[in-house]
Amino acid sequence: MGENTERKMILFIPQIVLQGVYFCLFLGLFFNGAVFALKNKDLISHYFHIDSIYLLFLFLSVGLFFQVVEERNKHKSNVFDSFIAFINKIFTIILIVFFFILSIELINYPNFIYSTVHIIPLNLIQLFLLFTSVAIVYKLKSNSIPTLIIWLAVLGVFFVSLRSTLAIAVQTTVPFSASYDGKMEYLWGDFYRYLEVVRKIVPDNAPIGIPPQKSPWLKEGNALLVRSMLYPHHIYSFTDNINAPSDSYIFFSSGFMGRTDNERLLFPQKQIKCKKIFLFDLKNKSYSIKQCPYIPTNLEIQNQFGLIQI
Amino acid sequence: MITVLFCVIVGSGLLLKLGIEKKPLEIFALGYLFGFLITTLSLFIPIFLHIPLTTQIVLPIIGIESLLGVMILIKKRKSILFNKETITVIGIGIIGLILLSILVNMARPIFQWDAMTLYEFRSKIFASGKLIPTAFGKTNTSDLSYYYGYPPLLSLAHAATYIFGFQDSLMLYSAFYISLIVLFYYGLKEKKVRSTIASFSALLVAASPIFFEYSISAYTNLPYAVFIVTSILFALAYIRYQKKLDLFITFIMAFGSICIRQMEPFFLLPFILIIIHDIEMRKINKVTISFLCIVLLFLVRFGWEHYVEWDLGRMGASGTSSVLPFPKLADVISYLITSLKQYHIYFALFFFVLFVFTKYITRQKYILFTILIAIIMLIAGTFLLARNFAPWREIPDSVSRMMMFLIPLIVYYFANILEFNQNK
Repeated sequence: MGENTERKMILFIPQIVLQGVYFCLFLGLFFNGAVFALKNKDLISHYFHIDSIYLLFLFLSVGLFFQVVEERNKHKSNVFDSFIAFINKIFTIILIVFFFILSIELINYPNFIYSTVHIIPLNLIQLFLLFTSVAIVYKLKSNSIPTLIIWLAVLGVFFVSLRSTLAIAVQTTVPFSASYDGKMEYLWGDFYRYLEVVRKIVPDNAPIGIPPQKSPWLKEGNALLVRSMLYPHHIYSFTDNINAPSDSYIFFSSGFMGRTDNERLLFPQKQIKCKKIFLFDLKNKSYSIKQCPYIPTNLEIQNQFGLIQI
Repeated sequence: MITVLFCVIVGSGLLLKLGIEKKPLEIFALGYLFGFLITTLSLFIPIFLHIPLTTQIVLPIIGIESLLGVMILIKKRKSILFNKETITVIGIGIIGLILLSILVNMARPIFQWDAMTLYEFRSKIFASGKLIPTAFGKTNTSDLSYYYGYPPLLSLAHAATYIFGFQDSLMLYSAFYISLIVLFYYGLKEKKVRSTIASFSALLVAASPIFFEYSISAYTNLPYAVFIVTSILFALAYIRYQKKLDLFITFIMAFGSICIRQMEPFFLLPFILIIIHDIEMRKINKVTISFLCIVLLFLVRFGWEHYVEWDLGRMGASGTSSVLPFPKLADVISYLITSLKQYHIYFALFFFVLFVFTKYITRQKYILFTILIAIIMLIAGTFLLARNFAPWREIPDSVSRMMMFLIPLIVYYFANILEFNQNK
């Protein structure tokens, strides 16, 4: 390898590293700045009643537009584009100064800056982040970007994506050789076992009353979901203030899915005259028959699941 | 698998008859999309006429179509030239992901909430020889309007699988996944992007979590994204080569997207690009063709939106909802950024390349326009949704799924920049 080539290689590697650092800084600053600007009221929105997100889009759009114009008109100097770059650098310097002012507050006491000059320093953070990230882009543009940096970035995106993709594939595995019901039990748990027992008991033409779709009956109260699993049964929503039609069945349930994992509430919550109460053993997919009437305060059915035959 | 095979045979036969000149894999991938539309639309005709699907109806329809497809494939077999292509490490990666998708779909049944309650449930009704209006006995017809939320073509494809005695309807989604990867690869090759970059870009799309996730789920989003992306790729090819067949394929793919999900306006994207190009080239008379295509597509969309009234009568029509005030732009953008968190690394790459390589912007203007117009449509659509749907902030997953077609577009842009940079 010639001497010149060796020199180029020696200069090349730090340049790649520097470009890589600039790229990572850009990513972190730009996105954090954008997120802050969107989530928090800042100085601009407080004093000028305009969200800084508009300022960001305006700044980027104008800057980008003039960049394109400059690229197309290589032989003409674009004063406005240079002006944008200059203004951006000035803002960045000013905001860096304010950022250090923030550190003064840390040395003194909370609200020191606000009590002195009536400016909340934290509200300047997002502007600092956004303008600095744009300044970095200008810095990157002033150097030539080796293709290797771009490939490294793409590879980074690829590996991050692949990791998530493989996690999705792994987390959705089911026992390969199990039957359809076996796989659905694995995926839906006790709720599917409950419906399997319901299918064993209820004749095809008998209507089934289900709880309202609210916590903790979000699954068994979802008429569309229950209908898709118990078709061709006619499903209707049973509430405490209606009478169930005769020869129908009503879910009794302590709740398969609530707002919290431990939430339990028995449905129905009123006493019901019935022919039979089926008390389910979900683990074994079997049931035992209990005496009517259905009384919600009966200790035997607390935290249990079953069916009431009207 | 059998439904996939039928679709490939039928669609590839049609494409060869139309005189397509592409590589075999590309013909089969595009053929699957064409065949899917032909098969499901022909099964939709009896449903539309309130004739339940039975083996006596389905077998002749699919049998005749497949026979025609096979006859054309045999006659045109010399047009399908398999060249020995080197399978690289990247190709092995793509094949690995495809096999993983197929394996998961062989093992796992359809179990997701929406898939079970709508697409899969409709297919079971059709496969059992029933129709939606009469399948539920005493149920109020206004309660049945849920089952008309999306056109029934995917459910019909599932039903065809069940009628033939198979249970592997999830293979349809693996086939959509494969079609996307193949068509994306060849879309880049069409732009003279070198094989390494094109295949790596295809691998990047294949490895994106959202595409893989919906290749193993029975949702409409992946098929929709595939139709939209294919439509845009062929629109770009039409802009470049001005071949009428490319315009026809663009139209059919946009039509296909409406037949999967009729609400979203992204079917307009390819035609907006073509109109912009025609205006730029001062071909004003050609603009009328694009406008005609748009009008036809809106008619199709109108048809799907009012299909529920045809099937259920006036009772099926949804009532007017109260109109809410417009939300703030910052709230909408904040919500969209949070909803699209899976896309952040792609957008980060996109913005970086966009700002640094501004010298290539004009060479990539069409794809950039597509991305920009899609984002504007998304923002505008979110505003409209927020006016009529109070819990609009509670469906971030839906937004994420709906916009998955942006990823191939971003990668396409990126691949072209890499190619330009390599060539400088």
